[in-house]
Amino acid sequence: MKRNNTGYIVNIDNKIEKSYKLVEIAGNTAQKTLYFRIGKRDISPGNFFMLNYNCAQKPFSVSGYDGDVVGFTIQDRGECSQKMINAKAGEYFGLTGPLGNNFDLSKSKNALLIGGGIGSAPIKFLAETLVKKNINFSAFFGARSVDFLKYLFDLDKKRDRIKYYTDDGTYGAKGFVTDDLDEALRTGNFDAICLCGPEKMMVKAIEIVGGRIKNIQISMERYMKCGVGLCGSCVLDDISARVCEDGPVFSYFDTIVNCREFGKYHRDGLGIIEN
Amino acid sequence: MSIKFGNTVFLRNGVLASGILGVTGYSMLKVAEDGAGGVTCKSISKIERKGHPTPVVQVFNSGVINAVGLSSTGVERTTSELKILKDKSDAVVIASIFAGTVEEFGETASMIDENICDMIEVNISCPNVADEFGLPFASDPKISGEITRVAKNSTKLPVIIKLSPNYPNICEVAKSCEANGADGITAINTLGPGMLIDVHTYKPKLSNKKGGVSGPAIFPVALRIVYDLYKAIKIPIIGMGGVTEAEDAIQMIAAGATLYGVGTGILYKGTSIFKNINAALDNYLAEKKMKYEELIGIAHRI
Repeated sequence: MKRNNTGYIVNIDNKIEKSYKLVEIAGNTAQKTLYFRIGKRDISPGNFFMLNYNCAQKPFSVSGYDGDVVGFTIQDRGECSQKMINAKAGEYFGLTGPLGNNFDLSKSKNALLIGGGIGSAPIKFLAETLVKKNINFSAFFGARSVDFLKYLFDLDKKRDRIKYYTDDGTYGAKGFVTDDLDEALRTGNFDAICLCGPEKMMVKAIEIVGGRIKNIQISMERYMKCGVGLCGSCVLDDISARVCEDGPVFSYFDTIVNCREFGKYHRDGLGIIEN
Repeated sequence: MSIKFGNTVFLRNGVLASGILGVTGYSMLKVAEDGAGGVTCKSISKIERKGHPTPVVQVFNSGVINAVGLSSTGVERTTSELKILKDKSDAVVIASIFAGTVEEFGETASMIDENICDMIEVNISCPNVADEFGLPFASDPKISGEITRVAKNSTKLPVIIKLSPNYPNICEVAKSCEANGADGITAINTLGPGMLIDVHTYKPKLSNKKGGVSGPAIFPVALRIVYDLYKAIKIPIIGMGGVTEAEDAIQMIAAGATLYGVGTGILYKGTSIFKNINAALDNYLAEKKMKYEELIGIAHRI
């Protein structure tokens, strides 16, 4: 996001919805990746877009971008995402973005990336970016079953530092993405951790890390009505941060550690607290 | 600098408009900490109420259109959020209320906690369910006056009425509210309704098809209305509609606003917009060797 030296946002172009043709939709019944030819844009891992299809709108993190085509991996999580995964190539979607901030590994020499469930989508984009930049990393991805992991297999297969976990043992290790974390930290020489996934998983991971790594970046998800910093639906309690505008990526030790609702509750579309 | 708005003292002269960042206590607190002297919550109804499905907000070149559809968590839940703002800040806490009938405005006003809130803003731009055509209350001076009286009789708090720019009789509405005891006026609510259409699907960009317009696009209309209102009524005005920088706020005050308001301006300048406008306003007054009170309505005395 471009800001001048007084902190003023000088460019609102990214906040104006434009429609793009769905050029390809790939995947299985568990989840699909939707591709749009958006051209050359400033898109980084962690950024998200508001996707609007047939008057159903939700935020989605970017799961891949090659400098021309942007991808969003969508899992059936309700009426809106269901509509979207049933869309056909050639149909138009309204895209607002890129929005929000991004993971920042500019100071890292060896990061550990952890993705759980559909939270693996932005982590996949981050891993691809690190591969391109030739920066060392390891990645752990966890999901219910192999069908929920398949879109990640595009990642460079030569990488021996990617581990998969499934609840049912249909791929990789049977168990949770946090199972080998303690051992990985003892032997891996990591200087940063990037997390995206269910909050209970992220809480567990942070607990295992303890104080061993100071640079922990987590991508938060909250209900968003507008995505552009105005409605206030996604503001986090105590820290007063808007997930859409000040996040979605936050430093754990600088901000989220003081966030009362992290791992405990969130709000619905009206603003009512849900556990 | 502190400013008297009727009998209410504002320690800083910018007010957060209703509907922007006004759902949770910590969200409103951030805006107060960033320099707002008054903070208005998103309009609340007696009980919980669902709004329109997304998309409800769309940005265009010179502003925003929205059709959030008056979603509300109800008075009780919002009061607990407002308590956070009251306990942790020195901002004037303004509860914005809406209702479907004149009587319901009274019931809702009576439910606003007088220990937590400092002022009630009545949003009369919502549809009158008793009206044959569901016209907003704000279109009718007589009903707007009745709502004012009912609200005033239901609370000890100062009551201000937020006017809609979408009816040519806005000064008549304001006079009727004043005659029925209103302590102030907020002007203006969103202009319109407006519309945006996708150029490939030809579908409206909002789920509700149409929505209220805010942001820089409506500033000249808002300013003209504040100018007209200042001549028509004696009660103080919060001037809002497209204020995005100090010069806009100065114009609003010169046209007759006692306080300026910001909503969509946050899209362009972030929540620190209040701090920045207030600092620029202080410099401006110092340079002009002018008191804030002298600036209010000065455009009418030149």
